[in-house]
Amino acid sequence: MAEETQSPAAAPAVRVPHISSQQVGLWFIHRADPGCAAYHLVFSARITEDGGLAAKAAGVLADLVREHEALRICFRPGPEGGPEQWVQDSVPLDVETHEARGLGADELNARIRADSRVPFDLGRPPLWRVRLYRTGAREWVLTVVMHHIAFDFWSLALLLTEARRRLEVTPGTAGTAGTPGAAEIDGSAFRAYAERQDAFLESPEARALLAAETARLADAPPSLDLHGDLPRPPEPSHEGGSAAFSLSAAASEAVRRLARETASTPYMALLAAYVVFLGRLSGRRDVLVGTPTSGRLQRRFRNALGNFVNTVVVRGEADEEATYRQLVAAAKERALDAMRGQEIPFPRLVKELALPRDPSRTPLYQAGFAWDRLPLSPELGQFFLLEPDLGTEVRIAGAVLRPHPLPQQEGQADLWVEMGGERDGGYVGVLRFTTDVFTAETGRELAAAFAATVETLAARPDEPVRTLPRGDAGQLARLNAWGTGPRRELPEDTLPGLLRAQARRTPQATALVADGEEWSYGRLLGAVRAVAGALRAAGVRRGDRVGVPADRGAPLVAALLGVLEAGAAYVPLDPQLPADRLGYMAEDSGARLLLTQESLRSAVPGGLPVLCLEEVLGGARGGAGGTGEGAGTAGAGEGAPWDGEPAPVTPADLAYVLYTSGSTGRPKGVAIPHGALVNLLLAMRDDTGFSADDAMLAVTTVSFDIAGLELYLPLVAGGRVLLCDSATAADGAALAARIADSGATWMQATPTSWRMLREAGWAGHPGLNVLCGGEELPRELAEFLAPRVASLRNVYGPTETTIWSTSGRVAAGRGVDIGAPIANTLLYVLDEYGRRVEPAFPGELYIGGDGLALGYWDRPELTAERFVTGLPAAPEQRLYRTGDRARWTGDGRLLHLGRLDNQVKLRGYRIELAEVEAVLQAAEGVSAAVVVVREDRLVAYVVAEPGAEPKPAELRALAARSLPPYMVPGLVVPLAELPLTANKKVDRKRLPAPKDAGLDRSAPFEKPRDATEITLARMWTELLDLPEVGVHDDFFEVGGHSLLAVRLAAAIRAEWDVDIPVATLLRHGTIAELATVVRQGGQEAARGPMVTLRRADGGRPLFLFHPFGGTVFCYVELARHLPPGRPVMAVQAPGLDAEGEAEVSVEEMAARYLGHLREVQPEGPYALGGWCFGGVIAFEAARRLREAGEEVDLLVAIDSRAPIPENIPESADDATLLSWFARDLAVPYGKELDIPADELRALGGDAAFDHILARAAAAGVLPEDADRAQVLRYFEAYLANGIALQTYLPEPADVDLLLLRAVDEPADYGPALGWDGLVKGALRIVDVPGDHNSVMYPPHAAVAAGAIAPHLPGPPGEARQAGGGAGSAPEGAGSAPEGREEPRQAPEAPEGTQRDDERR
Amino acid sequence: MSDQAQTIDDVRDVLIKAIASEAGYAPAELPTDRPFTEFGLDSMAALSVGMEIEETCGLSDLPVTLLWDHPTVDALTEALWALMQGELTATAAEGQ
Repeated sequence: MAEETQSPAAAPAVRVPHISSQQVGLWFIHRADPGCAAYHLVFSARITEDGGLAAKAAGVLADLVREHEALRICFRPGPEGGPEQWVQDSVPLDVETHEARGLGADELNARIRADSRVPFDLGRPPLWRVRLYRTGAREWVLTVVMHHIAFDFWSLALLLTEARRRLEVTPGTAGTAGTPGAAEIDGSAFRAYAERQDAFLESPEARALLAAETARLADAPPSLDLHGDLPRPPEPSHEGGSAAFSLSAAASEAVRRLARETASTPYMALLAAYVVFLGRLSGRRDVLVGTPTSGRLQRRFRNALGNFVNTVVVRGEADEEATYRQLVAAAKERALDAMRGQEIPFPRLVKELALPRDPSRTPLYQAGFAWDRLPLSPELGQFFLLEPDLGTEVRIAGAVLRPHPLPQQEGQADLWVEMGGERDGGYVGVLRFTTDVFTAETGRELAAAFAATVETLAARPDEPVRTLPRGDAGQLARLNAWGTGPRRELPEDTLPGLLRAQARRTPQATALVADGEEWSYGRLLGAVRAVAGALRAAGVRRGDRVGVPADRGAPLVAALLGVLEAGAAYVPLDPQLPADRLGYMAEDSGARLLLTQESLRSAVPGGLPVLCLEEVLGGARGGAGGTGEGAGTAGAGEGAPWDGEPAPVTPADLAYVLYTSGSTGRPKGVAIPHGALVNLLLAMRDDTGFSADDAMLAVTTVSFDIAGLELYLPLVAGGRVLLCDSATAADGAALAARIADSGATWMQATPTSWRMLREAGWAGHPGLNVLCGGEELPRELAEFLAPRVASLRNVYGPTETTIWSTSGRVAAGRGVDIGAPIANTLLYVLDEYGRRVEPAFPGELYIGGDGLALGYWDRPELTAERFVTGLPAAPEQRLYRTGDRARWTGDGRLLHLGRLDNQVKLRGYRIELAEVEAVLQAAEGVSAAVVVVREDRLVAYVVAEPGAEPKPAELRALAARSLPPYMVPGLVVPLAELPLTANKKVDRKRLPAPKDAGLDRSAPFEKPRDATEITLARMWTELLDLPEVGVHDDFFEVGGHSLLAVRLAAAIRAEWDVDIPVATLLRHGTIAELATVVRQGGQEAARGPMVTLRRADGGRPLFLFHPFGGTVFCYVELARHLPPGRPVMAVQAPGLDAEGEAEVSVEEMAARYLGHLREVQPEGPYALGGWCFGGVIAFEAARRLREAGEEVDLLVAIDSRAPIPENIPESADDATLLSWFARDLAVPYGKELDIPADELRALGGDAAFDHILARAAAAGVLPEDADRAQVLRYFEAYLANGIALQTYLPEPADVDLLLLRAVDEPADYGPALGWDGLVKGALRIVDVPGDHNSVMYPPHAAVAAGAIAPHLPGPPGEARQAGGGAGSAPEGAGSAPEGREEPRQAPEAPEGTQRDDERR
Repeated sequence: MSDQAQTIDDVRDVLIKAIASEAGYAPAELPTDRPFTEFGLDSMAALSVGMEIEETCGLSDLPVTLLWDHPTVDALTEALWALMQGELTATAAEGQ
């Protein structure tokens, strides 16, 4: 068959005057992503025929195209940026036939699928196409692809029906064959639809509907916020997958019956189940579901070709307390509520709601539910199912059509469920999911979970939903398999028993290396026995608790094991902890005795008997020689002073009580039995393969339970413990060296410690196996570690389930999960009713098995709360409730989603802080990031990598690229280091308040409160490109600068016809203040030239004079960075706000400005300064003050060229100044605008000025609609200043001058810029980075401020000098370090953190 | 087509015919006091019935939830009849 190709030659076309809102919406989606195939409607069939059908069909199609303009429409961009609808007079058919007989089935399907996804060019009709693939002599596969912007499924069904009808007309009646369809389908009504919609939207009825819809949805949650398998990209790719599902005939009949009984429809009943499903998936009760309506409400659109579909949003309530019957009744009401608004186009509704912009998700709803029933025969309906009845056959004009299912419309939203079809008496459907965040396995689990939800609810419609099980049998089996650790028989033994056995096997082998000394197994066992003997002698009995405050070292290990050997339980008391806390632990645990060292005797809690290790071990060694090296040779310490039988300790006996921070502010003890410890050690031995050849570098403090693994795992495997002292463990470089020198093959540490190593330049160690746990392992750290070590395991577990409960290898590039349960361990992810959640659903992680603690020491209520039995998922099991959120992915990986209490809700959004942290941590130059909520605002604390200085603004911008706006931290606070707990985990409670870090906002975040503030806030967000601003945010603190201020003033003028001088923005820099000015019609008292840049009580101001142009915005950055305590005021040119006031001589300016200045400060000493020309004015002002007998204690000129004849440009005419003016306009934007003076000179006058405006607008530094008069006033002031400078040639003056010289400025005016001839006093020159312009903008302005600071003493009585080193912003230098240095000793520290007890 | 000489019984007959056809009932057997949902009518069927009403009763721009608000043949007949009277009155008023 010949290939027909379309010709792109444009045919004559006419514009359709109207276009529907839905079409406009789809056009914008397509414009943003021209490769998007999510809106392709596809019909596909396998055809068997005897020949001739294709040619005949082509004829029918050609007729249809000729007859119906709907088949010839296309969309072109209109003059206002939106689309216009055009109908082309003639359009070639887009029909291609392809030879596919050589292709296998999979290849063919891939080919067809790829072809069906080839994007349309919406400007080039036809927006539909037909493809035929020849698969056999009489076999074809047909696809019809249409773009949804021009068609809907109804249209597709109409076309199929019509084509079929025409094909079946016999040739004998050909005389009427061209027209009989004309009355049947209507190819022009789409015009009337769009026109009607436009008219309708102007009507009072539409306004009332819109108001009702807005009221219905205004307070809806902003997004469904589904947990995914992959991080959500900032913008959707419109790629997706499909998973088919089916309901049993019984469930389907139950749904139909329930619908009848509740006077609703099956659609509503299934929608109710979908809402339950989504509620569980999102953790929300209030759930929005998009649902399409046909839009063909009027008779005349019934047979029309076009796109009439509109989506309405049902606001469902996922109420687990209700019965399904009640939920169906509720869903009916909610669906009707939504349907009432169906004539409001969805895009219009979105616009009306003015939702915060979140380009990563579809607006308003992220999950859809479609009930498709087409005006087709039921057989043809099968062709649209993903899993049709494959026996379906339809005969058309002698050919046989069979279904050829093809996935389509994937990637429109996060989730779509489409139903309406049936097979074998049961409903069938397809669940479409975005592959941006879900894997195919997860998609299948979601489909299975939805089907199971319907089956369960429909079977028991009169029981509360929360009492019904979740998931299906297959899912339950998978969850069981994933959550059950290997079964391992445990010996009836304890750790001392295992040690004895090992010492018997290898008495001479090295067990322990500490402080350069090696201890054999024999010696260690001897020491253990000596300790045990001494304890028994001191009256310690089985079950007693013994407090062990001891420094790290071999004696500590012997002490811990000795306590166990004696049948008692130890309580680690880290001497580094505050004494109060240690005292509390000793008392709470009811310790009978303290086992300590001589050196610590005075520091241990009082009131208890004390046994000194030196006495015990020294005595033993000195005595019968039993515990020294000799003991080993004597055979497992048989000769040790042991006065009795080994204590009859059983696995159920208490081994240790470990204290973790409690939420009440007092630590709580976790009571771990021997059996749990043995289980952990043997399980981890199996998991890691740790052998007698291995050596573990032990770095963790014993007060952190994971130390137990480091100290004991080697001993039960016959390997070596290399005990690292705490000083080395806390020093990255030293630790790196120790790793290299010690021969360690294993090391366990928290992510914080690994990060510390990385920062110290550690390059990894190919022989080192790594266990990383205790905190969330960030992906970027995993990516760093994995390729640099022998193996990387992520381990997870709370103290309450004994050190670790899961372990898993981490490979680069695969993401981080927490691994699989270790031996004899059970994992459950449960919902709030204790039911297992389906794979892919989030829930709380519960842990059962042999690792469980006995409970909390002496805290029965707390124990009962956290260690629970009788949950529906596992009634017989005792489970520990971790407080961690987790989720199984579809392929059985367990993802940790953070602490339940670490998930915050901010302004209606659910935010996982770890997700924000991950993004910041991945940023270049960032070593660590912690995000917390403070004052209703996200605050990020970041620690830079060595040598890097990531800028807060850049980090925010980076976060904004990959996170939705509500997850972008409002404030980024750089810290030198993060506060850590004793266990080397981040201590969130000790993060300094932003104000202590010097970066506080002047006031808490507050949303706009009235129309004026809302409008102002919108202007700001648009100008500053921010997601949101608070009404107390200062314009210049959130990124504004002078030219944006001009644009803001222009916007305010356009909005309210209120004239606000830009200088007012400096004085009223917040939305709240500005709104007041606007409300008062712009009247503002006392518009003097003095502008307060920073207030401060008591001190004399630093006065800064304006540069060329007269504005003082340039000082905003500088003022922010000058040391606190002194006010900073700026003098701007009076000509800026009114015409004709520009001064034309420096002398007159100085005289006039001094008048204002003396009103503020009547007498000296004065501090004056300025940048550029401002320095010259300051010089003249200082000269005059000195002449008047006043003292000037600071005169600073920032890259000001001295007013001497040599510095006067040769041709500083208007054109030259205009050229400079243009250049300076661009500076704050970091752009260059070089317009040669010659060019301007040639244009002359107004034309030159307009040229500047146009060029500046083109460069994006002025708005298109810039207020010409305002900019002209700027230029006039600039011009006046230029003339003043050229005519100012002062005599040398008796002043001192501090000159800041911008070292990167290419123009050379000599080392002192000419000042050496003018300054009779001291001339101090400081070089600062930047060129003449950039010196006043970030980052250089902070350095300039730092250079001025030492010369700007604080007010009397304020001793602190905040100057500090140049190059770093001095803010925060005052208080933050104090906060950092003291925390450990602080007696109130024990309230510590809730995060300390459970490790993730 | 609109026929202004219709009686309320004509309207009822039109409805019975349309709904019985969608629901697969013989017109004589359709219970007129039972909710449409009992006959398994869904929104698609409602749309068809609505279109039928539009055509035969001379009404346009019917409320989108008409069949839900008047969910039986009897109730819908009353509602439509009231609407048609209103329509006539409005037309007459415009005619003045």
